[in-house]
Amino acid sequence: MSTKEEPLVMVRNIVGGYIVSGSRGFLEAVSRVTLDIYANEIIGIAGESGCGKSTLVKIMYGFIRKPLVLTSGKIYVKKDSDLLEITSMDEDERRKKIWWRVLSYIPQNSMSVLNPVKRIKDHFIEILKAQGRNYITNKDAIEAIASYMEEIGLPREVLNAYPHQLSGGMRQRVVTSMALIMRPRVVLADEPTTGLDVVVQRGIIQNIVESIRRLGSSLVLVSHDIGLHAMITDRMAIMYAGKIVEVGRTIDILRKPLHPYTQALLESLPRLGDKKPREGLRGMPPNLISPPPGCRFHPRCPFAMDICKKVEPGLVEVEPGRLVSCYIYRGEEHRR
Amino acid sequence: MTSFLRYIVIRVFYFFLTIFTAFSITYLLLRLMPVNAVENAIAQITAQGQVYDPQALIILRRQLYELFGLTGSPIDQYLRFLRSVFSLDFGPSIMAFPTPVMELIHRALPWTIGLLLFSVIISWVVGNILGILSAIKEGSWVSRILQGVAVTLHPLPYYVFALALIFLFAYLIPLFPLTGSSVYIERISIDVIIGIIRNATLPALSIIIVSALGWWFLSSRTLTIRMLGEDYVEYAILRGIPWRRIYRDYILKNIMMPQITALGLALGTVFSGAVITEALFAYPGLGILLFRAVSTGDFPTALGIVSLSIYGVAIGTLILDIIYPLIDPRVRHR
Amino acid sequence: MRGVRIYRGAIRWSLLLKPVFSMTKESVKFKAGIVMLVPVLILGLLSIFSPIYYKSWYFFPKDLPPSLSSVDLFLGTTSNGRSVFWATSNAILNSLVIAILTTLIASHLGLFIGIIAGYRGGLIDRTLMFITDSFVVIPSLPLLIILSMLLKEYLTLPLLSILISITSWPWPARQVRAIVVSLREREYIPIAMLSGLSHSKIVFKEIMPHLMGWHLINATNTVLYAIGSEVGLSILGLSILSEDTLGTMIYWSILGYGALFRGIWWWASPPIIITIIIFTALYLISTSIAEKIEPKLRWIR
Repeated sequence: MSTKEEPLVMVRNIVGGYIVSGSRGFLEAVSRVTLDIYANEIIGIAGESGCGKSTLVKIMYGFIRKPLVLTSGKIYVKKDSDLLEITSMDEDERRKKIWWRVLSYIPQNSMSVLNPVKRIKDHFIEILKAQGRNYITNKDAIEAIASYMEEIGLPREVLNAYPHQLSGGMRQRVVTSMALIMRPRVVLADEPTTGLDVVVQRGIIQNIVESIRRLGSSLVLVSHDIGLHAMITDRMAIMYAGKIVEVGRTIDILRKPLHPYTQALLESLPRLGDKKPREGLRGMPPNLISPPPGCRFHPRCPFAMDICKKVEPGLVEVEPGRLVSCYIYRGEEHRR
Repeated sequence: MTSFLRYIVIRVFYFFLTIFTAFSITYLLLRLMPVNAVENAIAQITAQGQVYDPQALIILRRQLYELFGLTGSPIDQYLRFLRSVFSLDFGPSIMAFPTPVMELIHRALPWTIGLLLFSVIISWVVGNILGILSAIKEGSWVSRILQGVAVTLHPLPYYVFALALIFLFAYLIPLFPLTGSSVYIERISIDVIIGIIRNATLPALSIIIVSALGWWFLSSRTLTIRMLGEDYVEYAILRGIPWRRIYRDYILKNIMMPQITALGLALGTVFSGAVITEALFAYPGLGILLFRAVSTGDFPTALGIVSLSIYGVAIGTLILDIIYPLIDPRVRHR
Repeated sequence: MRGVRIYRGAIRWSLLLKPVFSMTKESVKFKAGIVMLVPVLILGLLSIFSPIYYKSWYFFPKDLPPSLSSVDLFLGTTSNGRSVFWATSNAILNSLVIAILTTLIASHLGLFIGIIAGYRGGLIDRTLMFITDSFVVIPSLPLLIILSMLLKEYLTLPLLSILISITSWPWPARQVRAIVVSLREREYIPIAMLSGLSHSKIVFKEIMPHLMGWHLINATNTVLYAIGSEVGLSILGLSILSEDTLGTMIYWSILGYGALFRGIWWWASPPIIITIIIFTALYLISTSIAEKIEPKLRWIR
């Protein structure tokens, strides 16, 4: 009877990507990804630009619009005591049952996601009305929102402002508070701090983490900044070329990265006191329209073996809670 | 509010500066013409074959010289020109001597203004609706047909399309009068109203069809498409906001700003093309007046009409500049 | 030696236009536009072969409907006993000549001023732009009307072109200046300056290639505007009424002789139809080039 065992979100073998114009083919951004999100955790999805993490999170939310296409796979979400399959719902259903209430989303470009001609308070009222709370008169709504904002640490005056009157950091805070207003179980945050200066970044992230913890929700943080992951995440999933290559507790991964890509990734980070020149990996991430056979990392992997070029390794649990997709660790036959 | 006041004052200042420069340039251009406008005018009048009392001709000549500012030093002439243009006093007309130019214009102006306001506003509404719908139903065959039509109609000046309309409706299907039967507005009666409608339909249609299906359609379509791809629209979808609300609060609201701007500008710029269209249909507005002025060599009247159009454009822009901050909150806080 | 260099420079300039053309060859719009334009152009060029008598009145019986008996009578005759076919053919050529002359003057004047204003910046820029803007405020058609009213007797093809140019040069000037200003800010211009490249070389080598596409578009639009203005002036009787142009044919047929009243549709319709065709064709060409050089516009289908 372990309370932790039932995941809130179960991603199973998701394959999805973008239709490239001119029928040049299909860019498979996410290739057979399987992942679980548990309650009360902060899990990070890390990887370089173009590895598919933003796409994965969009698919997880169920926001799948052209040219994004979900080819196959299923996603299950636990709502109260039911297990709902998002992938079989249409957008309307998702909007009514899942969006903003069970799953919530903090988009990447917080600078430009607010309607320039609407005041902040109207943005909130919009959400409340869309969620069916229109029996509240506007005044009550504003009062409720104002006290909610103060909980988060945003001054009341922000409500009457227009987006362009707020600084970037403020806007990000507003977007964060909007995401949490319906008290969702899982918040998906796509690069919430990119583009902000470091000091502001720290404030925002702390703000997000505090709010999440207070609600008892989970956070899925997408970022290419490993430092960020190190700071706040409990678990981490490393993505490369559309595949998850390693999953585990953040501390464990940082101390002992298993997958060669993870190792290279961590090697490239500057550390205090270490004056060795940083070396990058040779080569470039593969073209996702026609990816290399076998393990997608093999062209750049210093340990590539014959089998790596032919057959894809799957994610294998090498220690409890630690998964790696690499033939180096295939001695034990633990399969997930 | 004082910063807003300051803004208005600056804009009004620019308005006068612009008008002043425009008229000065016009004056320069006119003076550069290697033609004696007075002699020209008189020659054209006498060439019409009408007999003029020689005494009246001498008076006319003197007045024309004064009007054209051809007496006195160059500075005097320039100042006189400016004075007449700014005080809207262009002296007596030639074709209806000695009726002053402004009176002729006064008679014709309501017709033109009525036509313009009506046509521009209707084409704006219709064009925007069609354009937005076309963008939403992107890819449907209706949308594609409309696009094809728009591309054909858009570059045409109103009067070129009017020619086609004349051909179709006045010749093939003789519904409307080819050349205007002038309607005198003595009193409001059914006949008069029907007369107005009959006269105004074809000119209005030329403007409306070309504007609505041309410019307004294309611009609102483009704007809507761009709007649908905007980040904040995507975010609204993510938040679960229903489409009806998105159309109203996000798309419409954001499109209105540039479109209202364009509407204001259009009211000013439609004028020139409309004038010729009116002439084509002998619509009793400024168009026919201009036509008669040109054919009788009535330069003062022509100058009067042209000056009016300069004012029209400048005032239109000014009103726009003043109204715009009231609509767009982004501009308001600058 | 200077002559040779200028000659080579001109060739290099025209070669700059080639990629623009090859890019647009795939575009449906472009092809449609060309397909529409070419027959009209051919018809216009045929006017070189017009028989000597095509200008004489009453050479043919007047008001004859079209018949296939001869080329002359292919489109019937006017109320002056002239062949509509030859009149139309000459009209096309004359209108195009006016338009092209106007474009040569106006769009190059605009290009020149735009480059100077945009490149030099500062006081020169502001002064030039002030003058340009003042011209913009004056509505073009009314101004044209007054000017041609005054010059009615002296109106010839070149003079008309000059008049139309006076009202059409500001628009390309503003556009070109805006582009030059945005180019100037890009990194490679200051680098070129710092590396000692002379100003004129910078303009020619770095700025011109980008402008060529827009110059073409401006030129096309100016042609459109010129034809439109000429027709507009003709309706008021202010064009060169003694020559055949698209505008004057319309004037004489509809307004002068009331052709539509009397059912002589074959005189009035060719200029109208051909004008509309030219407008549509040039517009398609212009927008297809614009779509190619401004990729942002491309995805708007």
